[in-house]
Amino acid sequence: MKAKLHIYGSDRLGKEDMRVLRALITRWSASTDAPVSSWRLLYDTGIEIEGSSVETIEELRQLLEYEYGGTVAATLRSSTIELFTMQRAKVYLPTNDQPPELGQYLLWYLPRKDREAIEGDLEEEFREVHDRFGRRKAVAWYYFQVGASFWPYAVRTGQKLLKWGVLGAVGGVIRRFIP
Amino acid sequence: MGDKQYLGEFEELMLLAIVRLRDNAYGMTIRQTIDEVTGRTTSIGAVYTTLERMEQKGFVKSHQGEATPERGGRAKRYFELTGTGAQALNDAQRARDLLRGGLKPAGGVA
Repeated sequence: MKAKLHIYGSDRLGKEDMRVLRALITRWSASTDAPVSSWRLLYDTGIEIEGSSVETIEELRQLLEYEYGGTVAATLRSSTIELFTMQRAKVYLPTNDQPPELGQYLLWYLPRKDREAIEGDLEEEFREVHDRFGRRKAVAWYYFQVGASFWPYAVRTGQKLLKWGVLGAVGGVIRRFIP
Repeated sequence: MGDKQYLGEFEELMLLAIVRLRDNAYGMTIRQTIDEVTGRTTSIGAVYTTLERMEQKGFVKSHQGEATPERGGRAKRYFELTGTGAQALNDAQRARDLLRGGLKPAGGVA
């Protein structure tokens, strides 16, 4: 049994598309019938399927149609993703409990090595807050976390700059005594 | 005094949270545990910058965990205490016990 993934939307697979596809395929991978073992999501640039790099929706559609022989499409830009199995069971990834997009963009200051883990932690807890207190409080909580998390990183960067500044100044003094 | 490294207040809370959480110690759960104990809201940024500092000191080590749909397909980063971290916790506890010895709960001398 193969899952059908329907894809529409603009040409380029953007970060949000990748994020949604990754969530979908992660969920999909729980099913033993999906051909997910041959998929690999490249976080920023696209999807690798059977060793072929895919960066646009058109390439994805062609590759999936070629590889799996069915009509494939996914509504990436609308409010839900629908995944149809051969039995036509629908699995929705509701997006009304997703963190605010602006809030996610505001996390630009995060270092690359921490970004995935922190974004994941925030999204996971956002959903918990959303389930308990509703969307408004969850969004407020999320923006609070984004704002409050900026300062520890700003302080750390300032400390590094200060250290290098002091080292640079000491190095400058030492250099004067080297013939 | 030797080579003992003494922990800051927040570092000690983080290490204790990691010990308490065992195999489920990652950013979100550590942050929530500290919130519950201290009664104040901690930012996830403060948690990770402290964890990074402690990893550099050798108190904790991290490894990548599984990605889940609830996290938008993003992987978790789990943390665990190292031997050095356990020693630092013990040293901090011993220092507190020594300082507290003979004191009344309100801070006066017994």
